[in-house]
Amino acid sequence: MCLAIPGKVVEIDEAADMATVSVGNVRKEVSTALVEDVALGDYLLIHVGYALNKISEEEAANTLKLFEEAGMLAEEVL
Amino acid sequence: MGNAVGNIEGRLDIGLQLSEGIVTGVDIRSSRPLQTPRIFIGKRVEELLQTLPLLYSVCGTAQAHAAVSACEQALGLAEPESTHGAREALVWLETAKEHLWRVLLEWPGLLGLPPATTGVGEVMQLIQRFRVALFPQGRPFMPGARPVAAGDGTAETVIAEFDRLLREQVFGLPPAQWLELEDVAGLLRWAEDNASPAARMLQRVHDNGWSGLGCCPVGALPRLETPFLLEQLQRADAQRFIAAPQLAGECRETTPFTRALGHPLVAAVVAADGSGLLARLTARLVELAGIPGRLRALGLSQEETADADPAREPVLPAGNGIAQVEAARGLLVHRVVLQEERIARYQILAPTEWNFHPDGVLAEGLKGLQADSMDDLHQQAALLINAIDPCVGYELRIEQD
Repeated sequence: MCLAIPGKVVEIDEAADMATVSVGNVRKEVSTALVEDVALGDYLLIHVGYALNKISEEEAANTLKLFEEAGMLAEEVL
Repeated sequence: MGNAVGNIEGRLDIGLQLSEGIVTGVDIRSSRPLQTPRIFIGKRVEELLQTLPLLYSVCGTAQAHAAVSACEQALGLAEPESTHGAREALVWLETAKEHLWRVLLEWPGLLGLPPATTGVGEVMQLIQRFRVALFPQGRPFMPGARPVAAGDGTAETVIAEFDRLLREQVFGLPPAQWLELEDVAGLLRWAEDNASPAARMLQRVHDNGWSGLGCCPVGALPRLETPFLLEQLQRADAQRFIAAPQLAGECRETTPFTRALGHPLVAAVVAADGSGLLARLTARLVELAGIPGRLRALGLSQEETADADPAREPVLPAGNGIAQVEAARGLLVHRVVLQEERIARYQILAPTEWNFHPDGVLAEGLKGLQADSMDDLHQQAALLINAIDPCVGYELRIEQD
């Protein structure tokens, strides 16, 4: 039962292997050390500070929709 | 990220009551979102199986295996031995990734060292290659999936690369050879002679006198009987069981430690120091070292056998499926109820709810910890929590009388 949240890459710090991802208007710094070739606009599944893998925009939208249906995203995040 | 997103994952709040240097009370509260599976109600099996691994992507393979097995049962479909073995092999490789996450990313942090990210990244690449090698048509966790009958050697290559990764980054010798260690003295000699994060962790725990830390009498969770699970999960208040499960009124533990109890090295550490920190760390390493062998046995024996009997157990009502899968952190149970090809009920019972039960193995292990300073107590508690391993973040509070 370990949920992972999709976020869109909005900034990349290659030297530090870090990226800034956004879920709606909320931003978070995550390590991209475990995922290769991260680019601006990619969607990443994130968990406890690490990006786990890239997913498509469609998969990200579907996942966020499910979280929304479950009432797990506050309105201001969407 | 703000609280709204933090709330999606949930977390554990762990409070310790300290009196004269001894932990006298433990308060564990979880905000893990256990109601999430209700979002699958009304959806078709295919939709469930496509989205569930994305939602639960940390242990997405184990989740997907439990989901497809439950659905196949509910649909009255058999899971052939070859499919079951190949799916199980994929779950074991995911378990390896989770163990490497602890050993290479988190253990160095607990030792004050930088994390070693390359090993986890590499195993994540190997997982993708192994999956394609076993299921070139894709979608291994859809009803009716069949693994490749005769591979092109890629699966064997992946296993060999994984074996090498473990040798270079964890054990310093072939994992199968490391598994031949049989006593505590040999284990500690290995820890002393190696510089890997795994060896340094064992050495630190031993040097600090923390080998027996958190030893407590909570018993191992056995494989659960399907009628027991059905009875618990079909009740109107099943959510109470899912949030704080017990067996015959007792808390139980389901972790890599309970899975590895039968291994001679783990048994030797338990005999010397009890079911404490050293035994738990050793069990994680024992399980990790055994995974290449498991993959060879499971993933590559794909001779097609006659289809098994439909997997739905006779005790289950029509349209029901209950699957049990050994995931990285312990036993994972899924139950599905199908009505007219749509999901009418979906439930997930996860290992974290057994292990982090308010009276469970972590709570019992934390009780009685003794420390000279708050910093020392923080370190001890963090090591024990990491060893039992929740799948979410946690916050530790210590209150002094």
